[in-house]
Amino acid sequence: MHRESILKKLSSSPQGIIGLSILAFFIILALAAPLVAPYDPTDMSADPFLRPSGAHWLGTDDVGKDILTVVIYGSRTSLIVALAVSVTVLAIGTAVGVFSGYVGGNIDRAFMRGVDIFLMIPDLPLILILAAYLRPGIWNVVFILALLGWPVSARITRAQAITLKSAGHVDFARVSGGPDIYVIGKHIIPDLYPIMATTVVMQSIRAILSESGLAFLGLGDPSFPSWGTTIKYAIGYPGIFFTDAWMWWLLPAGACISLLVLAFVLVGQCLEGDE
Amino acid sequence: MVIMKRGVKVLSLLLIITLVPSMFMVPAIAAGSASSSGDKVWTSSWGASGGDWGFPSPFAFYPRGPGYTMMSFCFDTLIWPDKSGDFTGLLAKSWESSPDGLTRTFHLRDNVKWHDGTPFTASDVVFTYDYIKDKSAVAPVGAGWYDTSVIKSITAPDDHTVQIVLTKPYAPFISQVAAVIPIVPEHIWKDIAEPAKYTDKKAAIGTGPFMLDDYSADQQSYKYSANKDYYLGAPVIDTLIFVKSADVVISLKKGDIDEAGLTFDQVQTLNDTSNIKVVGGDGYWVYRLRFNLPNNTILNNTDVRKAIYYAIDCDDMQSKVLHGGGIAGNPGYVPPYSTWYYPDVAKYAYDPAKANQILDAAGYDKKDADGIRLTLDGKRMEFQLLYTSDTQTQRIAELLQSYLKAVGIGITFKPGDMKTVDGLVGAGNFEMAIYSHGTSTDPARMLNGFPASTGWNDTRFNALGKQQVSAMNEKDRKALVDQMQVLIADNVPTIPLIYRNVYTGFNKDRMDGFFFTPGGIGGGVPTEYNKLVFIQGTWNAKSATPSSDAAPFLAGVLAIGAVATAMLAISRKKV
Amino acid sequence: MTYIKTSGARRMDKAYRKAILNRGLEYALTFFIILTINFFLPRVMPGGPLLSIFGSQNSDLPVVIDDATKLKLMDYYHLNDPLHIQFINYLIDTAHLNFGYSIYYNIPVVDIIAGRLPWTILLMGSALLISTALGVYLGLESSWRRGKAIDRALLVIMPVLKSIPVFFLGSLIIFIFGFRLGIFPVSGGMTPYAVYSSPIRMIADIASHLALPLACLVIFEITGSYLLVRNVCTQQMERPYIVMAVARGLKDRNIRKHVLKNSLTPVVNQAAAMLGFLVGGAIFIETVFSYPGMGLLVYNSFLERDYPVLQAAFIVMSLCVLACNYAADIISGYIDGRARQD
Repeated sequence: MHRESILKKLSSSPQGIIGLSILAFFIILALAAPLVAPYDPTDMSADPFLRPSGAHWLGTDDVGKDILTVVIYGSRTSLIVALAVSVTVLAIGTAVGVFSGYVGGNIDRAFMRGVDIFLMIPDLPLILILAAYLRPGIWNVVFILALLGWPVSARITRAQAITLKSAGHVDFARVSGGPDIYVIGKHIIPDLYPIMATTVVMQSIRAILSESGLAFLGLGDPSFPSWGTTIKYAIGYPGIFFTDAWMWWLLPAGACISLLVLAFVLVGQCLEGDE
Repeated sequence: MVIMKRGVKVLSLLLIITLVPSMFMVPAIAAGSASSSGDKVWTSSWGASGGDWGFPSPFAFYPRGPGYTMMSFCFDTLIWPDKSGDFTGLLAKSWESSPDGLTRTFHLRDNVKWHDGTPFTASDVVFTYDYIKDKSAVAPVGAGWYDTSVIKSITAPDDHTVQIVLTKPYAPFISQVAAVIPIVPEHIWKDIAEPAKYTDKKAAIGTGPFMLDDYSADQQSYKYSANKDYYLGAPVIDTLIFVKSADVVISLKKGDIDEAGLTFDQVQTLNDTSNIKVVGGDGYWVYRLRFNLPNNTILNNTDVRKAIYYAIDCDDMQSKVLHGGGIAGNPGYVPPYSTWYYPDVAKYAYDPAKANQILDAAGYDKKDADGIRLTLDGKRMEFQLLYTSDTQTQRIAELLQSYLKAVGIGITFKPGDMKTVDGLVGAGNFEMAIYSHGTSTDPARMLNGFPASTGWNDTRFNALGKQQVSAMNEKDRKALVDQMQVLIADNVPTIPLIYRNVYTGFNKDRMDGFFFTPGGIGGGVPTEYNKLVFIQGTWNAKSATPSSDAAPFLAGVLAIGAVATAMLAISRKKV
Repeated sequence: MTYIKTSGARRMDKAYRKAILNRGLEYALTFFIILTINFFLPRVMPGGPLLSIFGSQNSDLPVVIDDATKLKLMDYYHLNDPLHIQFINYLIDTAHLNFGYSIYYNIPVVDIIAGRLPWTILLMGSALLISTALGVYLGLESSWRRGKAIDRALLVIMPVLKSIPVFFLGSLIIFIFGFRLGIFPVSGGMTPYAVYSSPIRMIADIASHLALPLACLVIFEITGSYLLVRNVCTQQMERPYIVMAVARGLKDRNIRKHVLKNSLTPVVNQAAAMLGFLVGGAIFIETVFSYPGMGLLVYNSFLERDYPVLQAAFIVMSLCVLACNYAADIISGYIDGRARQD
């Protein structure tokens, strides 16, 4: 139930292997973007609506940007948002969950009441309202997604913390007079690794789908090329379905989102022990 | 296993039972036609974005957008622009002006009736103008569109004559007032204290070629029926419908709608559709770069603005953003297809070298590691660019960023929605902004507002503005407007980037004749919906086109059948 | 095994009633907090409620919002009163379904919502029913034939379906079925102003417009119930008493019935939980398909920054989600009680 076994679990199942490899591919793509992409993401020197050719493998979009470049750099945006949101949610959710579960009593009840309320709120309308008031920007998006995401993590973590609290070795440590922080740090948190891994996976899925969805609705950050924005521009082009443009403008971005999410889904399935 | 199998069997049986009678219904459904036979129905569409422009009464329509146009189908003005852009008489059959330009006399048609049968007389005209003047504080919709400030008095010497006395000679009176203000029936409106709230059916009673049948804010649709007794002749169609459509190109190709306004990109996709005719028109829709003058000290420097102008390639911008559906802006601000255009002004052709030269000479020659110039206090020469986040403006912003980076000026994006952008600009809380709007075709509205719309306050310019509005002689007025353009080009208070054309596509096999009125209607709106098109157009269709809904129904039936068969097949498989 | 039928009175026992009441109070509290968030949002955000009201217009065409609506809105917000008075007024207004005036439409917000809500209920309701029914069916089949071809195929297809963003899926569906095959209309709820020769034709028209968005939503949602049902049923079948029953040679149909009954509770709960999810999905679907429901309203209002409509829509949607969750709790409690007595 520790770090090593997670990796072992992942590498033993076909789902895990496929998921991890797709994930690795995108991470490498994102990191190596300036080396791999043929053009600069702000380069608009080409003519608009060019078909795929040697110079532009996926053609150009409505303003003359190379689509392949935009798609490659889009991976950065998705992964940054996924990372930021999942880390933030993990931090806040684990902290609140462990604290609440460990302390118990009325504080626990109060916290869980708050969590329940958060869980009830439909998130997309609230995101839209908040985005309507705030300015479109990538950190605003991360903030909103994390704000609506930590309750789930807190609840799961708390459940596990409660179970662990009365587990044998934890109880022993407590009874032996170890300070709470020590008990938490040494005994509870490590056993939470599986839950944390699952949380990272779930939140990443949510973050990627939400970010591209919001970008599709027009809430993206214009300085960050995003797959959702690409789809938005593609659909906005009247000839997208009348010419073949959908093949090289619409499909790649959509396929990338689906693949990246699929990677996380497979990893998640493998971690939860589905066969 | 048995119960599942049995359950599935029962379900499949039920589905099949419903399928059989449905099969018989299909031909019956296909046979029924879409609307009452013989009815000449014309369907136009505003596209996906909005379509609700308010109730089409002169005081209830939504001020921003085609609300005025929707109202103009039911209500007539005294005078109206026709196909050539000249003014023809609508409710007024002739008109003249006193030599000093202060008294205008309109001779009204006789035999004009309101939609409810009451005869139209001069007292309706007097009532309308007085009503608007009186209610201008309460119904600002009207006041924004209807400018009665130059009217001193209005009287009706007899039942078919109206005399308007102006406070001063006002050159655009015909085009901006007489051809804009719709006449409303006195007998209906004299008891209405809150005109903006009056949205009863009777509020749409006018003298126009169409009568309002239905307006649905929910469906964002309008339905008009023809006024057969219209004094210019009955319209060539019986019913006029405006609807929303998510994809006008598909709807046009399928025949769901007959006409729609198009962007240039959409026009390209209709090249292969033989029955759709495309007509283009001068757009008068401008995208311009606004500066926070005079607050921003750097941008207040005319040389800096000129350098920025040299740094921008407007032709390239047009081809990347409008893809050929527009033209590059010109420094005199008045677009080249306007009759007021003056070509002899300072030009700022794309010349980044020159831009660099000017900026170096202005003292901004030091640059930092990224190549961005430093101002005199050592800060980066970077500006926030405010703009509304629709696709075209977004692309313009990106292009601007790239052009200006090449000459060492940094741009950060600040996208927002229309209201936020308007609010911030109005409050003076911005540095640069991309502003896009339609402009009127008359210089009075196009240019005189410059001090407010650009922040540039030049006494000479303002004086010229006042003069040209009172210049009754066309030649004199043109000379004054020319000088105004020269001043604009010399001072670059704003940079007009691109002008966007307008296009319409319509099914010429059903009706032909759409045109864009030179000069626009209602004081300059460049729309294809000049109501005269429905009087002067030609109806080509032989019979009403029925739309068949059998196909989707059949498809649904087949789908259910397929699912039922699949379920039967699965349950029959052995465990 | 024999099944004991219990009388109705014993089922609705005191504990059950108390639990339901408690849950009801919780939901009421949640709703109150949502109302409070809704109250503070415009007042806390940069610009305040005045931002939307006083956004001015500087082109040479007329103003965006007319003064009459401006005054009405300022009145509605009671901006001149102290905060607690504003809050009380806000609660009273909400209770009377007075959500203010739409800035864009200049008509009362509640009228707009009343026109849009039925479409969304139609779309989401049918999507929920169909996707849950299909998900249960497929999940059952899958768990019953665990390891066989169908199960393995579904296990591969479902994750893929789950990964495709719903707006992308919608565009593909529009492309294939709307454009290339031309079978279904690509937008709208029904053909506007069409004159129907019979009510059947109107239903057919609405149905044909509903088909594509419904298909998209169902595909999007089905993975949830499928996986849940499959897991729950699989767990059920490993329970000792089921294994015993199979070993004793009990008829298949009785076993399946039992498994199904015991797995209904989590399905019902999840269906209700999915509703919150569906509300979000509906926004994308309705935008892509231009379906005239609440989702498209939220999107358009967001574009126009029509804050009164946005906030009213948020309250209405939250209320729906809460109500459905509460209903789900009641139903699953009832089922649980019944199952326990069997």
